Amino acid sequence: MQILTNDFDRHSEVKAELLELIDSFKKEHDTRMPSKYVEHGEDHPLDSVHSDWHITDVPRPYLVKFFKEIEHLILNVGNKIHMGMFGEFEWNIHYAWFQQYYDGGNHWWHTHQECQFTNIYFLELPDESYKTEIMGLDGKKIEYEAKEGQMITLPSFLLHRSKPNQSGRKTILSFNTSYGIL
Amino acid sequence: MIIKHSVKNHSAHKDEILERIERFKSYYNTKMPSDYVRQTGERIHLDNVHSDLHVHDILKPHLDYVFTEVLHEPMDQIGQHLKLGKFNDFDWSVHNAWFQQFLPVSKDTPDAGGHTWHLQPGCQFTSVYFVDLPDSKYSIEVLGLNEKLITIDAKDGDIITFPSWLQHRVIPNHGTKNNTIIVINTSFNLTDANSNK
Repeated sequence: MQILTNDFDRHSEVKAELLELIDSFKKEHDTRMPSKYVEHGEDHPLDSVHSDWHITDVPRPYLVKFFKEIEHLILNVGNKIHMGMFGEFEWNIHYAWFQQYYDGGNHWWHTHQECQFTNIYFLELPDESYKTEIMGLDGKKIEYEAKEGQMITLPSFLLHRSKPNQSGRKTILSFNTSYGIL
Repeated sequence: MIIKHSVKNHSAHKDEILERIERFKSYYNTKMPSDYVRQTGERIHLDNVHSDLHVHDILKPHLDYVFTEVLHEPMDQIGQHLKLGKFNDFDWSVHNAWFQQFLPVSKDTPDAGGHTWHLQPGCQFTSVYFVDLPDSKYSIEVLGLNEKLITIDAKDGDIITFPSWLQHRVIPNHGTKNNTIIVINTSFNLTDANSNK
């Protein structure tokens, strides 16, 4: 398994509301992401990446709305990877956050720990060539198709990055998951 | 993706680890409750599987030994396999680890010790160190996403590592001696990457 892609069929209906909820959150909290979280070496302009990842213990209405909408996609991923082979399965979301990239904003190569899978929903992706880059175990970038409104799922150990953005604002919702057999 | 590592000086490590496990067993009730290894719904302590997974908040000298004397080389091998060395140094962390000992059929243990199909949530990888595997027939089975068994061919002294989301089981021990494994759940990342948890 490398990359699974799922369509979120209600994307066009909920996109504006999710972005509005994120904007409201940004007004109440300092969401400028410290460069130490995303950059390797040179600092990026502090304003070029916004996120709630470094802000803890506050309500995030956009995540509540998002997970109500996409629960069936998480189940769908479980079915695609044959979790139901021996009976019922359960899933768990370990952590979730938004990340918003402005001009020059980027996130250096990294993995996600303490989970089985990384999921990325492209809430706002004006140019598909700026989708998340993923490195395969052969050290080469994995070729895959994804567009705004789709969610990708990849093994959490695969290196991935967001290259410096020059496409207009890009917004993702990312979350880490694990599956287990009941 | 299955990574196999043969532990150097395994026979020396084996003696030390088994001795530490036996000492641990003499202090604690290591008989494993059935809900850890079977899908019975009823929680009973089994005579045919011993473990420290259900024994919490105490020192586990057998694990200390594995972490300090055995684990660094295989973990480095996995990190290289993931191409993490391509950019910079990398780190790994252990989220959970435990021993499991599967007893064969005997007068006292009428059932063969085993562990039914399961996954390991909350980690990238599961590693199984075959500390004492007298008969390779009774090692583990790992199921691929095509629902077919992946050939493992593990032997005594091997560490097998696979993605934590692959279903796996320990084959019931119908041999004549104990099978002892140490299971280790891990994650990897670049040293200077601030991972999203």
